[in-house]
Amino acid sequence: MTRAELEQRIIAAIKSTIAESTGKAGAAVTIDSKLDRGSIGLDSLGWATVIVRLEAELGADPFRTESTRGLQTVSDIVDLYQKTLETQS
Amino acid sequence: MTSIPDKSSVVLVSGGSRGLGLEIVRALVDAGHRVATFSRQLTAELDEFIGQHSDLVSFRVGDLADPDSLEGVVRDIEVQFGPIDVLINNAAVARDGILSVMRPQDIEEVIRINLTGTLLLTRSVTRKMMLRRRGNVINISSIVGIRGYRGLASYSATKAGLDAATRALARELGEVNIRVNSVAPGYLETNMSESLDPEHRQQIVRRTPLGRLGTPGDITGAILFLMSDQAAFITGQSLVIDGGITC
Repeated sequence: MTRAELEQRIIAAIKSTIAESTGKAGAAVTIDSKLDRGSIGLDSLGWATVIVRLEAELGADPFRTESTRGLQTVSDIVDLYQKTLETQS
Repeated sequence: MTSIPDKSSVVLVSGGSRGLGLEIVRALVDAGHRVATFSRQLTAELDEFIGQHSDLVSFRVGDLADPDSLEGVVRDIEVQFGPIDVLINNAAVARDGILSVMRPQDIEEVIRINLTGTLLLTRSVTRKMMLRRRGNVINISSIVGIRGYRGLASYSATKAGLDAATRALARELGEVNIRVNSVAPGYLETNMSESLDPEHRQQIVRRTPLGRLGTPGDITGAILFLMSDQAAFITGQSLVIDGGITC
């Protein structure tokens, strides 16, 4: 999977989760979006749902071993998944 | 004859091969649910029951002390029966004795199985429930988590911990329509109570407002209620089923 494809899938998972939790589709999420609730609108349960959804889709869960501390943007999440997927393959 | 309820659920019961766990499995199957259970060993009683209801109940070897085995158990069950609707955390071990002289490894084992193992199993199952945005978790606690009983410090700590986790998880998961409750049985007419000496048994009966020991049916009835839509607005609660001995 290319970096661009991974970005798309992660952003799609975030958007789906926002749509489910708010009932509103079409949230603006980009690679540079910040992860805090005020910026992206997901609380801790929302992010947990994103992680579970990505595990089902990608077969990877970096947060089995990695902490969420220090993650600032969607790009940081993509980095983490990319690293995990490369390690798995 | 088994009567099929309006909604037949897929239920995972930990530790369903004997004692209260086996009674829970039987009651759920009698109510028409599909039930998967696991424990360290298959017992003759459960094996016989599976033989009579092979389409509704299944067993796998699994050990709460071995977290790696749990995800495989959950995966296998979902392949056989489909997504798990209800998780009943029943499996537990008890090591009684005065804490000051208990072997440290026995204390650690009780906590590892009753608390850590149960939380890890709940983690695996609720991950799937979160995506489906529905589910039901019922923890089998105990009155020893509420009142002090000598010789049960580590076991009691795990049961009180389970009740605390029940409330925390209810807060965490309510938004995705997952209910989490616990039932806390008191003294039951089971193999365990047969070991009580007659005098102690009479003392318990005397102190119990309803004047008897509980039956497994008293507990399974409450579980079926908590699973049902009649309990759709109940979450984060511990239902004490003890004939009033702790009131």
